[in-house]
Amino acid sequence: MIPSLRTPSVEMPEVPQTAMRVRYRVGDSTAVVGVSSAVLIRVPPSDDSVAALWRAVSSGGGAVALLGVLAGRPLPELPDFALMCRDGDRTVLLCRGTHGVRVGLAGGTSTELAAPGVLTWAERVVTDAERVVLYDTGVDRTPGDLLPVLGGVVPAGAVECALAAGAAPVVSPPAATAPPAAPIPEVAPPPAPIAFEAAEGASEPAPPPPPPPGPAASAAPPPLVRPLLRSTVRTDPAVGAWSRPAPAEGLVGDHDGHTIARATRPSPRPSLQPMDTGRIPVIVCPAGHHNQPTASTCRECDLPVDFDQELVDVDRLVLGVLRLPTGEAAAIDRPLIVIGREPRASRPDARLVTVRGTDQISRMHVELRVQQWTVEAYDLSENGTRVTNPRQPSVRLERDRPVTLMVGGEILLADELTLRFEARQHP
Amino acid sequence: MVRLRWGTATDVGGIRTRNEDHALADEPIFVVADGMGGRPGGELASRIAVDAFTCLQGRPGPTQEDVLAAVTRADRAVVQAADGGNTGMGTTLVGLALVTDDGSDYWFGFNIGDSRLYRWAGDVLEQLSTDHSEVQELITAGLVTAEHRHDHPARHVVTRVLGVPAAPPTTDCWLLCPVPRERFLLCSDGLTDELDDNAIATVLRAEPDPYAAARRLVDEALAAGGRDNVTVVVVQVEGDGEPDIDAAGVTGTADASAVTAQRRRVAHR
Repeated sequence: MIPSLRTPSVEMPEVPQTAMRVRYRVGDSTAVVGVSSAVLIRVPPSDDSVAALWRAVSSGGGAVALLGVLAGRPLPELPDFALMCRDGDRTVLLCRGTHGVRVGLAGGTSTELAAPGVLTWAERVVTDAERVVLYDTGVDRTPGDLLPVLGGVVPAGAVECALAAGAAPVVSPPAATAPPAAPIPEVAPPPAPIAFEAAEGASEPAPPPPPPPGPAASAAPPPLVRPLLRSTVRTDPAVGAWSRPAPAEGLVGDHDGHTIARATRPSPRPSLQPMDTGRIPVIVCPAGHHNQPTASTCRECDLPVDFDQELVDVDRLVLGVLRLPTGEAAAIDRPLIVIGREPRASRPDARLVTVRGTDQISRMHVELRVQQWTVEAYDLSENGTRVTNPRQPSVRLERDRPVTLMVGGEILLADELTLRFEARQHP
Repeated sequence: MVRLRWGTATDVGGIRTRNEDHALADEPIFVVADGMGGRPGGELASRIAVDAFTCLQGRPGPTQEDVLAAVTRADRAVVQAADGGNTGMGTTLVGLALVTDDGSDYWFGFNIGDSRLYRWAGDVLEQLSTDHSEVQELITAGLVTAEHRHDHPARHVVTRVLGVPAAPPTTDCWLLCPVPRERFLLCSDGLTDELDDNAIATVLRAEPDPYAAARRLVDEALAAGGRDNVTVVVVQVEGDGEPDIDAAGVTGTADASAVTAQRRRVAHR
């Protein structure tokens, strides 16, 4: 790795908030990169279509304009390509042949678009993309450095576009002078019209393309759409077959002596079993640490993370450890972590963390609810809980108002004990 | 290391002719099942359900998954037995297991139906389980007050049981850290129909020995009417530094032959 690439943004001039940060790896296709769109196409840079694409890309043409350039030739001659084009909050994705698209979505999930066996091309629109990778699924990832590019035409095997809009408003809300043309939506956009076939529950993903003989850790070939968003809706079927038992015999008084079962639907409750075994996609840094698919540097060791690696599905994500004042560490690897002098939980896959302290600390003082990469702290205590995230003021938790705990953040129980969230997978 | 002592007792009661309760009490697994469905379904259902847990007997360190898998096996076994013509049979199931997760011991309690799991610690009796019964639903909804629990017409209608063909049971469960000198009480509704929580607490306070406590709880339920089968399991965590007693000290079985009644002091692993 080129060390300076660890912070590619530092080397770049100030660019509009809507601009993308683009990195690429040299390869056999050609990348055409503009301010809000990028194309990876399997032709040499000298091909006529590249010049036409560059004109369309550099003039801010939309997906239709780019597709118009590509589709200007007979279909059998249309080269494999992958294309992304931003249009406000939406990102249009197209791909054909062995060229595919991986998208990191807000919230740490990701999805893929591929077109194996498709005669024309695959198309999808997403609304919350944070990172888009255009790459050739049929080629081994050639070792090589990730190079930044502001715009232009480069020989490339893969292109990563980090979309800036998602991160910008966190630290500085848009100033009053901000151009009204690019508002940051306050509320979540309408549901992304992504065809999560796998999420519908009934249908399996389409047959996967042939597995690339790459260095990927996962043995299974990637399906057309990774089943990332599984249906979690479980229903209790009606208890129709249950019949009322025979009446008791030989009883006195009004006591029927029998426990009987009601022949109706049981009260709806979320099922606690089987235990959650959902698989979580990760990318792996050079030191082997698991990272969010949208990461560009490792959350644990800060090394740059290759963007065009295969996603690896893991059973259980170890987000880090909770360091106790005694030096002990409790892994943050469960959906629920309950902390206190006598913690308890009403689900089988919780982790109980017992802390020793005065009775100022409640039996159940604070609980962490973990969803994928997000850790939220809920106060359960009599004497209060504070959360201090790095470079943030300390926050006192209010009932039912959780606060997200960031890596390096600290939880203070009753002004007495401090627990620290460290991003390490092994204590 | 968690050291346990336990005792169980059961009685057919003063009115019924058959005991449809079954229990299993052997470290690290403790269960009580109250069968239903008439002759012979009720007795069979609770026995089949309890039998599904014998594979955990004497096997230290099961996981929560192991225990939930046994619950599922118990349910399927009762459904299968009902296929043999014993329609309408089912059973409640309440249990407690000492599980191992990431090298630490935890209590894992679970419940389906209206048998109960209580915890006794620091002179406080706490009902951990929630009855899956129609009357409890009415109480929760504020339509019936708790004092009418025992005279409501729906008092014995359970809303969740093992053995429903169409619906694998939704199991309530609890994970707790073992605490020295705490006790757990598992019982069928034959106990709680006759004794209220105060009466149960009085017995637990007076009887330091788990078997004596279980025996006396059953006796008092019989004295109070004994209108249903009564089954009680008392499990306690030994206090730090308390002397060990001979591990071979198994006393006799309880009144009903169906129940494994044991009293032992066992060093856990």
